Amino acid sequence: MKKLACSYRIKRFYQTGTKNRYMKLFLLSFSLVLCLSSCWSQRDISSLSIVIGTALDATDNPEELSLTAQVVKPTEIGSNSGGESSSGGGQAYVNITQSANSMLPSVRAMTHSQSRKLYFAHNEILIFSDELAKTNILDPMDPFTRDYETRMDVQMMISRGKAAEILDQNNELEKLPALYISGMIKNQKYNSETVIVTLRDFLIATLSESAAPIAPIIEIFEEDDGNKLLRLDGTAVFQDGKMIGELDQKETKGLLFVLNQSSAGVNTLETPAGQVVLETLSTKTKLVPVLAEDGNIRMKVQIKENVILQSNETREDMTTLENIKMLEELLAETTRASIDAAVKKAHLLSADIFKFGEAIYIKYPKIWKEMKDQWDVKFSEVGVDVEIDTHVHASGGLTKPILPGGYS
Amino acid sequence: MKLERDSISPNQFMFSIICFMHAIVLRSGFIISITRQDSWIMSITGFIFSLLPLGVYVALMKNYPNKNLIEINQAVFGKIVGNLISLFYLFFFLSLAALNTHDLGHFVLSYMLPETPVAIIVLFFLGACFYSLKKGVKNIMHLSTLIAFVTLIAMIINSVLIAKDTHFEFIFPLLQLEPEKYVQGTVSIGAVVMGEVLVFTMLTPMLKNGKKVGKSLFFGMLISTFSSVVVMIRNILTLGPLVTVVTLPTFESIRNVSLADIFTRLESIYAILLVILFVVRVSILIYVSVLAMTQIFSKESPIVPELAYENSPREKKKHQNQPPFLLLTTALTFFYSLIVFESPIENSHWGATVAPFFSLTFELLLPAITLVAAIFRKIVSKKKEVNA
Repeated sequence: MKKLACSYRIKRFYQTGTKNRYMKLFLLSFSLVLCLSSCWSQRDISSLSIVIGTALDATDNPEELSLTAQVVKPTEIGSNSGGESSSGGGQAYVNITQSANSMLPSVRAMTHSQSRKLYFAHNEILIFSDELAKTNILDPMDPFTRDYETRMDVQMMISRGKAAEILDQNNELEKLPALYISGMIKNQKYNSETVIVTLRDFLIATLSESAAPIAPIIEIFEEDDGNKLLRLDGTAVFQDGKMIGELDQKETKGLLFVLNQSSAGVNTLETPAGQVVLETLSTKTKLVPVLAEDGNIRMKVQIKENVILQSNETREDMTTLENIKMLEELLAETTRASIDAAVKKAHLLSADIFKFGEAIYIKYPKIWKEMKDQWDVKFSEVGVDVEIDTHVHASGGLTKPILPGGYS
Repeated sequence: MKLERDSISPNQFMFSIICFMHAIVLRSGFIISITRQDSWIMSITGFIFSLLPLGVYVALMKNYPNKNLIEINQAVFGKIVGNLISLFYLFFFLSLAALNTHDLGHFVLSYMLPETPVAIIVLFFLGACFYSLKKGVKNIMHLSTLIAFVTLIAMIINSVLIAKDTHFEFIFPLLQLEPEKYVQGTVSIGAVVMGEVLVFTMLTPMLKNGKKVGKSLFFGMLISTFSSVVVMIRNILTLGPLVTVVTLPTFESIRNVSLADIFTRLESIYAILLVILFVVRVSILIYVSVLAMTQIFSKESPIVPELAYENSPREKKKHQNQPPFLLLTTALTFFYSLIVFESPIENSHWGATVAPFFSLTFELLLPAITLVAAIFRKIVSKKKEVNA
């Protein structure tokens, strides 16, 4: 009986054209298997070296540059920290260095000595040594922008000394130095003393007719006990694709105020009664170019700063109206001093790090067209007027300082 | 292949225009390299410019209701001369199909499958177009409503997600370039992007309500203009001066989306949408080429009312499944797309220099000649009537 039913089904299968449909389905599935597995351009994860940090250094040969790529060792990521894992490897990364006459040849040259191909899609940071940055930074940057594998949101920085050494600086918190540095960069918004620059920001500033590109500086800092630490310190300033100078931390703070990128931070003020610390809640800056009667352009920098009283190390009640006013004035003075320092340095370098040129172009396009060719010279002649409006919002959880013996 | 009359609603017609336009609007890099931060204004002026050819098409369709471009040519110039002129249109439609296939092929090649031969990519892509056309162009038109909505929603979501990385000052100052650049930008958008709506004058007999053709064309173009303005402004605000140097501004702009390390690498969504939009676009172009070819070379008009098949579904199915020139045209598009340009660099040079003139010949000059001839014919026939 069963056999009969079966043969009937087969008969029907052939009769009603179901076979044809099955054939079609089979062919479709087969072609899907071929297409969706994308065998042609496949890249197995086991054949890739995932790069998470890149460092570029100058070499003794001026025609060459040295590329160091930090590659993740996946097997070590899950092992115990401290580099003494049971698998015996230790470090969770490998730094591969190769010199060649350009960026791409050095990446390709690595295939001579490596079992896996470098894969840059997960690259987080890009460090240039100051030596290389002072000669030429744009040429090695081009392939990082042109190639579709790399991304323009990678964090950019300049190292004091060898860039490769920065990538080799171990730390106790993170297994991968590149991730440590990228985390460090993300933290900088809480102090507003270091610029945060992605490759995209740098390229936009490079393409601008007036603005001078900037990038944070990273260095290895030795503590008194000989312990070495990484530290972000200051800002590198560029002109025509070359590093031409540096800003220190105070000048960088002033620069961030003018650029409207100062989001948070602490301000330590020395009052006659002692030390008071204010924390910045928000800052808003407006750049207004003003055409003076003599035909010269002055820049008006209007800053609104909102702070709260974070720490009162005096014996005085700082929440009285007079004291609040005094604190606001002192804060405005400190901010003004940092901006003045930044303006002075920028004038000295003749580098428009504040994007004054762009503000002028937007407001006075005709005047800008006349002055843009001599902007290098004219920039140093632009006067800067700073208007600061500070406001102490609150005094935190305490109204008065804690005094021994109380207020009886 | 039979084309069913009265099978598409004016709204579906409008959404298929939006899909058709979107495919090119998303890739407006060559305009941005000319007019920089003012390119979004060019979208608007380009739209206004394209109202001129649109006016010609609407006037033609009013004079010859329920007829498509080829039929109008035959009616105005007679069978032989009309068909000769129609051959130019056929060349234009085929060229557009090949150019767009080539564009898509090289997009997939450079961003997704760098080692795959372009012929394989194009083959699979045209396979999808062929399959969907075999099932009937009507289905593509129906589906385009959904695709247009998905595209518009994706565009809005991408714009919202990138909002925190935009710099409003990048759009300023306005209109500071040389005037001739604005003329070039306007004509480029008007001719190369908007003017291609000419393709839809081939499909007008499919509309349920033939009187609303002009309205559908106008609103389809208007919504496309609106979305292209949004996309261009977004690209300019995120990329600033970089927008003029990157190959695909929209792609690079979406690559920058990074929200809380969760919403990242959204460009893959854009890439998938672009491929779907190109399937719709190239399918319509191939269909229009097939239709033109059939109308030029066959004695009978292939356009029949849907009702003609009402009593014989089998006959209807037979006709739908046996389009005479479909396979031939798809194969032609395949080979044409492979040889049309040597490289994307040559392609973008052509797009910025020759393309507007190439397109305007077919989009404005030829229809205008037809319109003038049609009006002349009418006047002559009226005079004859009066004399008689």
